[in-house]
Amino acid sequence: MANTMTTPATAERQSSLARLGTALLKLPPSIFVIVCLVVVSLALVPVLTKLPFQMVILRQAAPVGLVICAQLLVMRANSIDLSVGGVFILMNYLVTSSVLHGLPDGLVLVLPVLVAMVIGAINGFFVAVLRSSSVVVTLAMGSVLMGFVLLLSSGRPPGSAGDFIKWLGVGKIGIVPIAAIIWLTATLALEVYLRRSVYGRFVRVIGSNTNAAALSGIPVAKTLFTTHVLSAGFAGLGGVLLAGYIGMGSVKIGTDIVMTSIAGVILGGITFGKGQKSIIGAILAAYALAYVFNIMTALKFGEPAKLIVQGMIIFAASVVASVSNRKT
Amino acid sequence: MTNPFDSIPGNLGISTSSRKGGQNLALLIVIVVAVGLTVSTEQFLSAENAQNLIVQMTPLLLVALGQMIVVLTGGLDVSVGAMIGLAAAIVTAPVEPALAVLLIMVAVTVVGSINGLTIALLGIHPIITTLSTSTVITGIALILRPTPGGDVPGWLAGTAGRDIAGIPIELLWCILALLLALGLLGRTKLGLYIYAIGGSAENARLAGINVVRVTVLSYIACSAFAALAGLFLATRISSGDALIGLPFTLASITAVALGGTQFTGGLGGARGTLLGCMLLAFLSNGMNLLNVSPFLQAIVAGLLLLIAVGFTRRKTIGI
Repeated sequence: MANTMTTPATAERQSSLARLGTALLKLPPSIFVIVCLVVVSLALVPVLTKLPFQMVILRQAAPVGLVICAQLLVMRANSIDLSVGGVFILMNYLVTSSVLHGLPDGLVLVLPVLVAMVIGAINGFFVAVLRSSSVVVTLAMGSVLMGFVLLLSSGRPPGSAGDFIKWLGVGKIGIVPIAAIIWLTATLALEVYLRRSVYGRFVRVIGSNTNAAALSGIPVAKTLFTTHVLSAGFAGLGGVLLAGYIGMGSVKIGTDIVMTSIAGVILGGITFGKGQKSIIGAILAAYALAYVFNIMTALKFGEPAKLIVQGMIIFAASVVASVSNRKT
Repeated sequence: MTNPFDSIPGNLGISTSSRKGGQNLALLIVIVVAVGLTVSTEQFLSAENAQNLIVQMTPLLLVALGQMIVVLTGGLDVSVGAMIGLAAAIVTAPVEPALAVLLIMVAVTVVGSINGLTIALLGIHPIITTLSTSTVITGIALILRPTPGGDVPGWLAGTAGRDIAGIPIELLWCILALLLALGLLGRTKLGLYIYAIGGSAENARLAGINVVRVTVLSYIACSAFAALAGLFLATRISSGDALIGLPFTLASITAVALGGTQFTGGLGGARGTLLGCMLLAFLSNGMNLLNVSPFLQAIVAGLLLLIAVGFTRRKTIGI
């Protein structure tokens, strides 16, 4: 008798637990990473959770966040952009060398971003029109850009960034970093555009099934081309902000940006086309990645350990994303 | 029956009749470049330069043959560069030579299995899996060998940098690796299954092929070839360097693409990959002879890859 009384209750508890589990699996993995990070930093380096440090992390997250957005856009459309590292190096070269010297402030920001979009258009041409594999095309493009910058600068870092770009990179309004404001505004604008516009719907449909999209008359090539151009623009903006943050020329930056951007997209809960998660996941992912690096620096992790942790995070997040996508 | 997707507007759906892919085009380009370099430089045909060419080409050929195997299954492995570094770091570590060999074999099996299993079982895209394993492997290799250095064990030391009657011993590495790859793809069931999965994983599964097993084995083979390249590089420079392999990731993909192997899988082969490696070696050698900046060489290699993939038509669009 007692058994028959408790069984339904246990079953209900179990199913609600299962439902909670499924709901948790649907959240972007970045949320869990942030929760873990806050716990770890409260235990080991509590100073990181204070507001000024949070603002520092937010500022560091801005360039990363923009490049994650760029990667997210192409990955939603079942493509990928491995040339973002090359774009970052090129942006750094453009704003720190004498190429754009003496131009009005606005142009120094806009011209590099336009150059990045031209690179995106070349990628898009190969991927969408010639139907080449985006992995190979953008990998080659990254190598070309890197060689191009090294050739132009003869292997030496160019000069330093102008005051306006530096201000964008490190300046603050009140306590909020300008870079973070640019990042969040651009990201939210992108999300609203993707949700409201026909183009956004096209991207979503192509992401869920490219063949079905082509059969139902959606201009796949055109949409994919636009996506690569738009994405490169975001990457370019991120590159300019990072150049402003570093303040001077460097031919070494950008090598791990490709990795970070893909890590961010996966942490945000999206893998190629699949995933219904909002852009909030990607914003949190950028924040989480910047947080991770700060904690590891505070705990005096060496470069190898940082690499291992970063690789593990991507691996774990992609496994979780794959499993949760399979269940739904 | 015709493929229903052939009727999609803009889908050219060019079918390649043989599974050799575009290897003949690669042969033509290699001949053109070789003739061009013979005419434009005096040293290109000299015996000394031929030796240089073989030595330069060997590590690339080793990695590219492995890369080709996974590309034939329709995959991609960007962890080969990291694997080269790990093998170089392990073999120059101060441990018993037998233990070092065992460790490298374990590393190859573990990395290949993780790559293959996550790709075939969980359906995670190869670029994501291998990018993450690549980062972890580089981290481990850097822990083992933070700065370049160390000694190559005696049994390896004589296998590079020597020549027998004017023929560099590196040629032996090339021939053995080539025979291994040709034998694996052409003479074994595994080779046939690799082509079958590259053609269509779903059809291969329906035909009773264990797709997961074959995928895992091909990623292990790829890691093994990369580890061989790591051993070779460590022997050639007589020391270990955890980061020595990183440029080879892109170079191996370029060589495979130039050799006419299709990234959708199922089309191509070892002969084409050899030609792709020769083409890259000729170009880099030729540009050195013509005093072209090394930075410009990186640009040319990238542009070549763009052209090579730009002219290979495929049905899918995107990744």
